[in-house]
Parts: sequence; structure tokens; C-alpha cells
Amino acid sequence: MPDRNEDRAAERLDRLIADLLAGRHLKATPSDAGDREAIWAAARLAGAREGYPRMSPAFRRRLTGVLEKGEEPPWLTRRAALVAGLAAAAGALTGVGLEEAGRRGVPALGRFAPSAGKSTAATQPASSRAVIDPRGAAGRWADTGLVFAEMVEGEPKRVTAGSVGAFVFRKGNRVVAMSAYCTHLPCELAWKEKEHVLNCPCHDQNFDSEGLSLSEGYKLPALPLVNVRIRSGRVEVLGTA
Amino acid sequence: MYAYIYARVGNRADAEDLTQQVALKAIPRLRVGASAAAIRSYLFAAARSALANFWTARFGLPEDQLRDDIWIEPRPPEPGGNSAEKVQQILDQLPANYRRVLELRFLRGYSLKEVATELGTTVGGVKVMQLRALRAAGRVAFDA
Repeated sequence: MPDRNEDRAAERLDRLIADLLAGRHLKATPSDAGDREAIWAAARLAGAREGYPRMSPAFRRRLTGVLEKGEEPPWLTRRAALVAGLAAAAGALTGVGLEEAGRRGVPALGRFAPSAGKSTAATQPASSRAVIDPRGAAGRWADTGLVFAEMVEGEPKRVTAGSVGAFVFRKGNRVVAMSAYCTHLPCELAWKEKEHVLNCPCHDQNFDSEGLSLSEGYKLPALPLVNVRIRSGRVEVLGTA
Repeated sequence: MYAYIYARVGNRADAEDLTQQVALKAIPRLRVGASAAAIRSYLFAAARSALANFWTARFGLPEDQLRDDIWIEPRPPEPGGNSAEKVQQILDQLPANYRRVLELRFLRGYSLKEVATELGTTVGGVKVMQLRALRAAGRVAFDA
């Protein structure tokens, strides 16, 4: 005999879980208090999905804006620094953060924009995307061997520049490059010619040619952009020495 | 701080709201020249109180009914402690079929349908199994 109460509770809990997994507010109400321990467990499990949960660049900007509003000027820099610290401190705290953050190209506050190659890079506002931007002396522009005039739209090329692996797309008279690694688990993406997607074989997740997640449920973070430029007709990518 | 809160509420929307609350409340009160340790413990105190309000508001329960350490943690976490470890410890104590359904659904992001296919059952079956598994996980965590 199916247990009606259990079915109802299962249905209700699944609705709450679906919200959690989609990044939406937990809509638990006092009528859910009886199952609060199960809901607590669901929240913890959902919270453990991402190896390193990060504030989205959009939220970071919003938060900086909120904090800066109505404050005296002397506080501004310190305040902005603290906002950045809210994320960085968490890295030190969980002990998994910084290396992972670096690998995923999480930009520090105020470093969203590519430092070079602006004229040729970035199809979208760079501010909404992480950018892989090797620091200082570590950064090196590498000739990818690609000749821009020979590149065909819709046929990205996989390139490596030191430690940076990227797919380079031609978009009209510009080039765009993005990380060649999935933002979920760091498996290497492969271009699927027929579907026109970058596919992650580990969990069969797809990204479109803008690097945006095509997942139906929880959207993965967009693929970080890689700085790219055209020099003497050849495509160069900012990687590491 | 965001990661700490996210690990406890499990969704971005609430984590952002609470992080903002903490920042608005705590940051204006930080003194210039305070030590890193003092700032850290102040921020965590603010985060714990925001989380306590969050849970009491959701379940309509007074805070003293949620006084259990697990809802309102008494201390900041150890530096280097990893909240994913706690989840793993809970999972490790569950029967294999419960562990499997939770791993697939949460940690690997499978849809109900995908879990059902993987486990050879129906979507309804997965929902019930998920309920039982989470209740068991809650018991394990709260009895520990």
C-alpha cells in the first residue's frame, strides 16, 4: 500500500530541493517545520555541490554599490577591499579556495576587464565574465599558429599557451577565446561540430559558442574568457611562459 | 563569508541576501586597525546570527527551539576546515542506496528522471527515496 502522507511529503520536499538546486530561495514555511532536519540536510548537500562557491561578479558589483552608497569617501577603498575580502577570506577558511579560484580564473575586484587586447577580445561585457589574466611576469602572449584569415566561423580551434588552454572562435572580424575546461569539474571540453556546442564528456554538459552553460537545470558558470589579439594577421593568446 | 553561508543554505539567492545583510551590518562597525582575528570572529558572529534568523523565520520557530549547535553554530569554523567534509561524513554513515540517491541528485546534479533511470526505478520512487534518505541524513547529523 502506498503511503499517502509519505508521497505528499516526498513531493513537497522535492519542490524545495528543485529550488535549491536551481539557485532559488528556500521556500520552506512553518508547515515544513516537521521535516526541518531533512530540509537542513538538503541545504547542506546542495551547499556542497560546488567545490568553491563564489560570489557572482554581478552580485559582487551590487554589493559594492550597496556598501558604497551613503558612506564617507575615506571609507571607500577600505570598503571595496573588504568586499573582495569576503570572498577571499572564505577561500582561506575552507582550505580549498585559492588554488581553485585561481585555476577557474576568478578575478579579483576591479580586475574584470582584460588588461590587454581589448580591441579584439570579448563579445560580451567583460565585466560580467571571469577572465583568465596571468599576473605580471607570468603572462606571455603566445603565437597560436593560427592565421586569422584562415579561420572559419563556427569552427573553433583548441590552442595552448603555456598553462592556459583555450578555444578560439572567429566572430566576424574579431576573435574570442575562452577556457577549454568545464566550470563544473575540470574536465577538458570538446567541440561538437554537429550540435555547435562545447561538450564536457564527464557529465555531458554543453556550453554554447559564447561559453554560456546550456544546462536545463542549474546553470554552470560561463567559461572564463581568455585574452586574445591579432598581430600581423596571426592569432595570439595571453597565456603563461 | 559567502562560501560559509552558501554551504549552509545551499542556494545562491539566499546566500547573496544573507551575505549582504552581514556586510551591511558588520562592515561599518569594524574599526580601522582591528586585528584580522578580531575581524574574522566579528564577521562570523554576524553570519551566525543572520543564519539563525533565517532558519527561525523559515520554520516559524523561536530561536531557543533551534538552539541545537547544528542550526546555530557556537564557534567560527577552524581555519582550513572544510564544510564539504561534514557532508561526506554524513553520507558515509548512510546505507548505500540512500547515499547513492543523494550523491546523484545533489553532488552530481542529476535530474529526478536521470536518477530514476540510473537506479532502475520511477520518478515517484526517487522522490520517496530522496525523502527517506534526507530524513536519515538529518537523523545522522542531529544525533551525532
